[in-house]
Amino acid sequence: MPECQFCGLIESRENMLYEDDKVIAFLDPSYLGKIMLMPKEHYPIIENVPDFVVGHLFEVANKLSKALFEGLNATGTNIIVNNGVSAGQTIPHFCISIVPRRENDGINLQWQPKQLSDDEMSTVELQLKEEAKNIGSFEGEKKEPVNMDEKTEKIEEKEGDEENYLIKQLRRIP
Amino acid sequence: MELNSQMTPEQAQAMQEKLKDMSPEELKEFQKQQCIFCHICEGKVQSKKVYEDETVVAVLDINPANAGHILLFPKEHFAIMPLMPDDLISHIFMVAKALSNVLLKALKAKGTNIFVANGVSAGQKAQHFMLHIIPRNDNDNLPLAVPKRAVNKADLEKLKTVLKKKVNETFGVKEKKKETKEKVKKEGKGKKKEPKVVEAEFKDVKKKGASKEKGPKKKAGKKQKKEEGTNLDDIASLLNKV
Repeated sequence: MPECQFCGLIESRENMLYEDDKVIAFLDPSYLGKIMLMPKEHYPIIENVPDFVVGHLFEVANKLSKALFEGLNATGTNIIVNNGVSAGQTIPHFCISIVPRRENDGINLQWQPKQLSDDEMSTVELQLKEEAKNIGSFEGEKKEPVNMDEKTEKIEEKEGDEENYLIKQLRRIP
Repeated sequence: MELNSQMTPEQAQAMQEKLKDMSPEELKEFQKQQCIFCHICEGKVQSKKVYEDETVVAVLDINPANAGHILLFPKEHFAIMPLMPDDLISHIFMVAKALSNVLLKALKAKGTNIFVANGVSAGQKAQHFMLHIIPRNDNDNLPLAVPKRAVNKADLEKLKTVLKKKVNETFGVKEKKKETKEKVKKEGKGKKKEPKVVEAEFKDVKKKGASKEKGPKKKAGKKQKKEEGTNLDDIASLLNKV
């Protein structure tokens, strides 16, 4: 296992804002007011994070976003997950960014919409619908010891190369 | 129908005037009637649904950042995320995780972004809370990274002090462990503060949240500025300066 920058940060607790038994949040020194929220345990991408931890992480993210509204007089917040190198992830430890926003703050996160034909849209719809049929029950916390093992094994089997590709790519980052 | 379309200035103004005279119940009903995403949930507006359960719906964005761009939103009308109950937030993001996985598998995407905008200044366009799940490929150049800006160490320390206080306050009610820790600290210093005070503060926070519901287009932060201590104004101006 390569040394993880965030695992190191969790050990040092530098600029820590919040922690509980599962998650921990820091101020990001690269942008004033930006918060990085992550699971304490090392998971590279969201697909590796157990469902109940995902749920808890975003409950906490919402409260931290509230704190940015109230504490910094922000007029908006962005909650962003960069999942995979292609999506802008730079450290192989799942992390949620919570960013305070104000009018004319010079941040532009607006994408240019792409024009897709009706056919293209319908094809994508079918592809996603088919795969989304597999979304079923979510993993709860109580059954943790049994389910977690099963789930991890399943993911590795099912995802195969794609999942590993994402993780491998992250490992390549110096 | 455009999912991301904004109202014309005339429409917005007319709506603002109407809203002023409404009770909270009328207001919520009115918002529902006006909200295209509520209409999608009810089937009144056509959409390309890719997932639906009892509480949430996922459709394809018709103005996608990339092919396969998903909008996931609660069936109940909430203007912004701070107004949503915890259990719904937890559920909707577990669904988001599953849909991210769907994009990786079905479209062979190389990555995904999960993106939430709360408030107009954050880029929110619709009046119905939603999250974007966007499939990513190498070099597709979507502007979804927050720029790095040099932060002065003193500014960071100052901000940390203010924000940590607010964070403790926000979590104070539910996080029992934290509360007791704080209590012990306070008692140790000889200051007495009843937990009731924290609760009252939290209620106040909720009220402020509710006032935002009336129109996320208004600058919700302005009202609060006067209520907060001077320290917060300092911090706010710091944020502007950077």
